[in-house]
Amino acid sequence: MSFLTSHMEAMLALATDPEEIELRRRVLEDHVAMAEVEAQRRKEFDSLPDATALTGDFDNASGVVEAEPDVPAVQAE
Amino acid sequence: MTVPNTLTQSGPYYPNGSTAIFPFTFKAAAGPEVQFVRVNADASETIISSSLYTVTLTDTGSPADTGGSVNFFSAPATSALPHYVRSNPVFTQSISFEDERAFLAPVMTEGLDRGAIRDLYLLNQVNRSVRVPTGETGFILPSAAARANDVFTFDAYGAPSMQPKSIFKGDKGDPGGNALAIGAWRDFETFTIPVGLDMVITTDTLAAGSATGTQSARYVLDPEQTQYTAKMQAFMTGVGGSVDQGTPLATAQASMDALQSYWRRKSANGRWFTLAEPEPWSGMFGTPGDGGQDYNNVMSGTDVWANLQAFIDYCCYFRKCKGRINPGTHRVSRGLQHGYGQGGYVGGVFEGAGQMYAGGSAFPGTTIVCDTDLDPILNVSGDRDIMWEGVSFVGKLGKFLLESTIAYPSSAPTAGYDSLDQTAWFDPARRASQDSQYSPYACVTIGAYDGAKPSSGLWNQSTAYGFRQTIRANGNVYSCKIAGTSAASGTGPSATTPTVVDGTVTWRYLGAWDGFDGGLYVAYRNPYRPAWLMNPASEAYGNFYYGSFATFRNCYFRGAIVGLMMKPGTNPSQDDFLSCERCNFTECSFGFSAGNHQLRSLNMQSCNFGVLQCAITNNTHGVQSGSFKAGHINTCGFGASVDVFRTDSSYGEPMVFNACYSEGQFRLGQVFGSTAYVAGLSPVFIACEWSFSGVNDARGRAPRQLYNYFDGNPNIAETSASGGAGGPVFLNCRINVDGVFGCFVEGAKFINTQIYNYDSGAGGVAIPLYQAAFNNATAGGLILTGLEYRVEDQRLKFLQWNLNTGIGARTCVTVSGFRFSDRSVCIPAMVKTVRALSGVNYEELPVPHADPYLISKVSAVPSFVSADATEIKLVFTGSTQTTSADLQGFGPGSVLLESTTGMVWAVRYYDDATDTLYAVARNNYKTVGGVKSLLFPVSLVTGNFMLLHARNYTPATPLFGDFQAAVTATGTNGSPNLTAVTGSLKPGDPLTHANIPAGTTVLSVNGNTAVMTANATGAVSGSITAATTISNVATDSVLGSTITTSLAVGDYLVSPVEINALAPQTAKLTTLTAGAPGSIVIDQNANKTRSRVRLGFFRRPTPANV
Repeated sequence: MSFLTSHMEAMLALATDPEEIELRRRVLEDHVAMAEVEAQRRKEFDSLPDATALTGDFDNASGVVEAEPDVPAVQAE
Repeated sequence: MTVPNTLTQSGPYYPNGSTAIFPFTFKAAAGPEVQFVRVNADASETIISSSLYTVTLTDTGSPADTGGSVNFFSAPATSALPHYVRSNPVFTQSISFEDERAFLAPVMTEGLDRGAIRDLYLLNQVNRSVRVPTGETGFILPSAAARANDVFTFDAYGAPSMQPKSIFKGDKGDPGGNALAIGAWRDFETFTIPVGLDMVITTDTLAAGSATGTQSARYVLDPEQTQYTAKMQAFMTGVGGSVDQGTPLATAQASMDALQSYWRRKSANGRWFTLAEPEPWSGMFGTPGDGGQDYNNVMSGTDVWANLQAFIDYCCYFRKCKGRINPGTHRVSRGLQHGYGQGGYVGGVFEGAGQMYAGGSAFPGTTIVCDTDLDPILNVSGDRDIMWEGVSFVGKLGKFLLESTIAYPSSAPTAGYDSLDQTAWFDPARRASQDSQYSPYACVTIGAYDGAKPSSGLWNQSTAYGFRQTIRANGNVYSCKIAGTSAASGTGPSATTPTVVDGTVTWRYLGAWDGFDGGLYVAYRNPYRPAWLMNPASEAYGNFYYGSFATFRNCYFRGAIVGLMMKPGTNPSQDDFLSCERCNFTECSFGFSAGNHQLRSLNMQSCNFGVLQCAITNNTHGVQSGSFKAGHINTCGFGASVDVFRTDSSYGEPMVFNACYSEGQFRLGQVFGSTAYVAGLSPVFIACEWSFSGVNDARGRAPRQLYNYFDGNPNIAETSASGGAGGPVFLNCRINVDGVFGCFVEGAKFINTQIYNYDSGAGGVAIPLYQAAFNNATAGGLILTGLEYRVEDQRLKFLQWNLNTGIGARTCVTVSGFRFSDRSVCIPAMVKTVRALSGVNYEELPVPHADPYLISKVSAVPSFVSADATEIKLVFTGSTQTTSADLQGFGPGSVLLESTTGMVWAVRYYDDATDTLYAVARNNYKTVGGVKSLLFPVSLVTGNFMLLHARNYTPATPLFGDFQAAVTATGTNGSPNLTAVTGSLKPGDPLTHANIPAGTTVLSVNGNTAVMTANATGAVSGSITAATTISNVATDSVLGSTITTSLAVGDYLVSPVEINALAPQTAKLTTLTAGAPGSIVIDQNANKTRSRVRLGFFRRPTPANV
């Protein structure tokens, strides 16, 4: 659960005014819906192989990504 | 004689100094057997000397004669003590009858009377003595020696039992009646506290029925048994300077006495006691904690302002002790002052019962709410090492923020509320100046009244006005909403609407000018100053002592324009080393705002900032150039806010965000100012995780994550044009973006930083080609601007999307760390290598298209179209690809970047019918009431668009070919000449017609005539070119490259021409004929006829990158 979700839940729990309850429920529902999508996408992203596992040289240790001189200018169209 | 009644005494009498005769009605045998006695206050009796009076017995000769009077020679002195005339019979018996002598009846009667009188006397004594009930046996006390120093008790059988008095404890806590536990504090003055008792304990609170126990307190006998005068004056002399500073001493003394009344109490018997608690609770000053503030801001409970203020003063100035604020919600009718900033510094540590979460009464803790928004709930002034801990400060903005939903990025703002307009965070129910520059409505301020009281300036023509600057015009007061220059004529703004345009300035109407007696439109109302300060500057602003080292720990700031406001006044000096630890800042416009430029070493530790417009700012209030000077934001959380920070660059020292976290953020922040950053000292983000899920269509999308922080802004740019290291640094961070990110900051360093764009089609969601290409072109929707001069340390991981599957490609991309030469701005991330798990490079990707390719806005003739509320479109009309070389060659997915705002447009399609190119805004827009509009204005006249081609997978430059259009012409059999040519032909174009030999091309073109390389074999009329074959792509007319070196069957066509559905699977290259010129065939027909447009090809890597 996101910390914003838990905060909104707490605020909803504290509410006693009917109007406030309704508004807090609404913003909570909106937020939960967004947070769920976000969590799913993050899960997918995190399930992808780590960059280091893929290349072993993310930190440039392997030297595969060698230093290069300036990129030569490419003539514009 | 008889004894007709049973009386033995008459009275009481209270001598009045004039009465000399005191009658009595009992029977007395003789005058000497009558006494006049006084009962003293201690119950002892004093027998008045009989020499002072005579006794007259009633004597009428009747046997029933009784009573008489005591007749003083002189009237006894006045006395309030009771006096009695009582019988005092003689117990000797003097009557004796002799044998044979007379037995006289009177003598016999007298004897009987005397006996009856004695009986009555004894009966009176017995009735006043201790007796046992009928049936029980009396008892005998031990001997005097045996009972000496003992106390008389009864054993379990009711028998008397003498005990040593040392074991006698009495009732617990009440050994002496009104002794140790004396009752409620408020009733102190009604208690009699015996002499010899040096300490008492009050039992509880002011209000009956609200006892919590926290108000019980110990008081000790004060050595000074009068009102403090000399002592208070001496103590105040050290605070308010000389006692002779103008305030009448009598007034000051009365104020002191009032203050004393909370902690010095006088008993009913005139004994002074003073509070003797080392860490007193505010309840000892009468704060029951019975207050409340409901959702509609209706206040309830006891107003304890005077009590709390006296408590704070007592702890700070007199006892110099730590104070505790007792549990519950405390309602105050005006703001509290911790120190007055006058005459000297002040310390003080105050601790509540704990942070009451959001001020909700369901949680334990302490909350302070305030009736008014004219004052901060608490102001600290002249502080040295003060601390507040475990207290919630709750204002009245919560209802407005919730109802408008402008603070909740997941919910569409209520119509009329623009969450990205700073001045829209404006509660109509609050005072007009609630967000004014010098008097923001705040939970807590530090030094609110420092400096001269702000005043409102008169409006002037042609004058530059800055943000939040306040002016007066036409009887009204306005605050600058959008900076600019006022009109060159007229008298200034006069409208009373929220937005008033004046020249290039936009004002917000605050209210009618009130003459500033209260200064309510530019300043707080005058602060409370107790008379004991004895300073003529009381009730006024002033140059007070500057504080430092304020600490707030475990506090909750909620429901105001500013949660914690440092120095909102006109004097910005000092107040260093502010520290906030484990505090919550929610449902405010700003969490923390600094106005002073000597806030050294700001420390925010483990704080939570949520549901805010901006968490931390230093350029909004006060002199608007606050400084953080090596501010450290450590392990803090940010959420549901527009900006993490909004700063002025003049702070000039690094601000470090360490291990911070965000959710639902819209933007890292904005940077403004007139002073350049010192090279190498820009913000640093270490091990942070920033999630920008607040960048969405419910709220809008920011143009840059650090707006205004870019080269080209002379005030903010790096100070070293040759490669200064002043850009922000992201070290070991993770950045999660839900939505096209747009531009990141200029000159940023990304070191081992991971960036992920949620919005690029996860979960197999189909995304339009233009969007997919756009995301791939810009590294997952991210545009890294100004990576130039970052010679080293650029290590960025991001995810690209497989355009076939719509899921993240299993690729790792390392952004090259080399110099980008003069590709100074606005180029896509330089994708250097794509590698397989085997370690074999898929391919070495070439450099992007070109140096920043600028398209003049003037030649492009752009315009905005608001055809629908869901997208903001940029449209190029009347000067499109057919006539403007600037606009040729880029297709769906290409990126246009506006030079001043960082606004990004994704090219979506070209409408051949109208010769119009459409691009869709991917950032720099906001949503208000479900309708999109620009966030920051964009000029369509000045500046440039910068073109970024989407095709990072293409060879060194995107391949372009001419798309031969349908041409109509007329020719005759046997002639190479064509006349009446419509459409566009150029030399080399292949011609296809039934009466034109195969392989014939255009030899030359002259106006609407052309010459072919071969004669027609028959009459030529109508269309002479087939539209399904694309040719002449082998040799690009400009670049001269050949397609056979880089194109392959299966590559995708990306064309300005809309080819059926915009999906990558459509329009693949199916036939490739090498040659010069060669030709290609795609797998479906174009559905538009185009002339001389350039085609791009999106090449699939081999093997497929899935």
